[in-house]
Amino acid sequence: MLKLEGLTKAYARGAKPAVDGVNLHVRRGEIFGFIGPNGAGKTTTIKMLCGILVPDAGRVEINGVDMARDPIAAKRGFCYVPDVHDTYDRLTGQEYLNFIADVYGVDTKTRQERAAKYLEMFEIADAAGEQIKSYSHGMKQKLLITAALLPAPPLWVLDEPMTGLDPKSAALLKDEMRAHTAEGNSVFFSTHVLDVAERLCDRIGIINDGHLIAVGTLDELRGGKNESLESLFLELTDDER
Amino acid sequence: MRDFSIVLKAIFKQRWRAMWELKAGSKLGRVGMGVLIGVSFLILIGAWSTLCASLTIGFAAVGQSEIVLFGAFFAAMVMTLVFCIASVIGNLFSATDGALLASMPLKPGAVFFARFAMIYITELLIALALCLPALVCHMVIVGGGAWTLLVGLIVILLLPAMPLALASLLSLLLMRSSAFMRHRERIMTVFGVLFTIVMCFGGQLLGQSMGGMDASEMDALLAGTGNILQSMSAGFPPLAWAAEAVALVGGCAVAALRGLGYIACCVGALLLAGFVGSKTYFKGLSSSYETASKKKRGKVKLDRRSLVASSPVRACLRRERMGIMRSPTYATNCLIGVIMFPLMIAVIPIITAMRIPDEYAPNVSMFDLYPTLFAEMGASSGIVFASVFAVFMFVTFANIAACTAISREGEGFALMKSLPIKFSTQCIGKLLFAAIVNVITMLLTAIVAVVFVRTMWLEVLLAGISGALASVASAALGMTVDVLRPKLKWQSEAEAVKQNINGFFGMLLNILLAAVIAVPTFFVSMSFGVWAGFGLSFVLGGGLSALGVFLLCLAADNNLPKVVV
Repeated sequence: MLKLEGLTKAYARGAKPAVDGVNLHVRRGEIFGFIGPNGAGKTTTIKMLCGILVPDAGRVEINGVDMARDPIAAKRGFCYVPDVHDTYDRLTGQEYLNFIADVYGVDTKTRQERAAKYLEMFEIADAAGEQIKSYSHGMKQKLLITAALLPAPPLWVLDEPMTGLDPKSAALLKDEMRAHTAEGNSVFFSTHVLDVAERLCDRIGIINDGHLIAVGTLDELRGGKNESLESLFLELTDDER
Repeated sequence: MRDFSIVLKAIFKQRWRAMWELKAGSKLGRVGMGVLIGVSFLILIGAWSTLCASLTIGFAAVGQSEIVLFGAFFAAMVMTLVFCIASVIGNLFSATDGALLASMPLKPGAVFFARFAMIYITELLIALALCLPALVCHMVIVGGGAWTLLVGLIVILLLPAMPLALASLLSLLLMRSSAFMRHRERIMTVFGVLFTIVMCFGGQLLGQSMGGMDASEMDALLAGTGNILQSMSAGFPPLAWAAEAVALVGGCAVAALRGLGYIACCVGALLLAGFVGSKTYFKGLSSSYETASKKKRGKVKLDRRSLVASSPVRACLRRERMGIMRSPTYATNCLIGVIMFPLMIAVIPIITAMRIPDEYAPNVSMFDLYPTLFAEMGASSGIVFASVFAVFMFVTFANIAACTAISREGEGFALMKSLPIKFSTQCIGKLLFAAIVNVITMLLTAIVAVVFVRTMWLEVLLAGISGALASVASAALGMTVDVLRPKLKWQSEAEAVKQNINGFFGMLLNILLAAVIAVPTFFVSMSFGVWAGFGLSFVLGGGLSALGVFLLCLAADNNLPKVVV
């Protein structure tokens, strides 16, 4: 579903790369958790795989389509929830959803059904007619998630999706992620909440200082030891330093 | 004072570094851009200086050289008045760091003055560009020495004070009083537009009234005995005091007194704005965050009728329209031409009709003046067509909606990049909006021309068709500038539109484009008549529009993927 090969990015010429030679393969039907300390390169990696940043080296393949060769087709294969809410905040929630649905070519009937379903589910239907700038942080997050779910592409790319969500909405989102992957689709998400990663993810990738230092299922990462993801994470990231 | 300097330093550094980042790139590119900006400014300043010099020589011959200084001060003040409201609203109330500053233990007055100072610096550049050439011309041609230089510089430095204070006072009061209103931003947008209309109309009115002299005044002027400036500036004396102080009219003591009068007016305006700002700024600012929570929740339900599928281009067009129309700063800047140009056309015959006394033309309605004039000039249909077409091309030259289409995205540009549609498709949506703005401007100008100036309607219609076609080229050209060099780092919406050099480049290029289309059209229309002119303008406009759209799409798909937010 998602392949990253030798992905490298430095923000200035000659500077230390923010992401250095990352290789990763997210399979169909799995939830992949991407974790790492602050400044490790998570968001840079996600921005490259979404086509927001152009990699200095390496390639991104989504659903068999090379991002560099055919970015439009590649982008149709996923939807993205950013970690910051720099969105079109003068649009109402409903107008924003309509815009995203138009861009992804979602037909009228489907968009109405899905918009109603997710807006009700996240309890923001009442605010759908208001401009986004009047939303709280959590409401914006819910709207962005709703917009990302609207086109129902095979891959969801979520950058810190639980941030700002109330416990009920977080639980609902986790259910949606599981339901999505149960249909043979994939979810790639970054998080700082290790409990969520531990309980939700089929596989986990740990990035530190721009390098992917560990990838696998929780059991594979533990390597036979009986330790929590938190201990493992601290151990791995401390070793790197 | 400490709070003021802390905030000002932070805002200044932020803006300065954003400007510097914008200039990052190859050394050759930076130098080339610098040369282009420098040459463009030099051409404009050179033309203005030549005009000032010739007028100073003329008025100095009759001992009234201060009139040129007054004219330059007046022009700077009117320019600031007409264009400052968008800056004021954008910087005071649409800045991205508003909530952060409001949360800090800073005095509201200090934050207000720091923001005000940043706007002041920007507006001061306009005053310097317009008034320094007049001052230098006065010193070279008339003399005056150190006094003229010193007082002249003080006057220029204080020029933005009164218009900015007026705009700030009005926006502060409106922001505070509209805090509890449902459609607050619409109110602010309407206010911004109305303010611009009033200032534009008022400026024209004042200018026209000042330009008028009766026979005795004209005799006095020619004899060099009457003080024309006093009668011209009766409606607003402080500027005349300033001009007379600089030109040392009436001796040192009188000039100093007049100079002090002007300074007192400026300082008084600043103090009043500062006083109101310190009392109401944070309340107005914080109410912009409160308004949403005051709205009744649970009343608005999902409107299924509005969730209807359309094409990506239409979606982008709709988003562009909503983004501009819902921001007072964007609406005032991007739609100013729609209001200003028709108004400028209308105001001349209206004021002429108001001003010319009946004894000069007892049997003529003043609104018939222009058709009569056209008839007496023997203006042919071809000349009327060519003139109207030239005006139509002119009104599209300053389309800020086109020249800042990408810059306005700001940090949200990342979202544009993640969408599964080509950049060219997104740009076509934006281009359509900019072209629609051009066409509406032309349409309103055409209506005004037919109603007030009584221009021949067929020629106006034909010029409108050609102009609408050519306006796509104009919008595409302006947008290409922004696509190649978007300004995505900004702290306030005003920085994205008004303080964006792309607007200036777009304007210069569009003047060239207008010349390329309008000049041949003019000569062909004069020589071969209206239909030949129409045919040529249609072909030129259509061809250049197709080329413009093609180049825009090419630039968008090649350059925008490389732009990093």
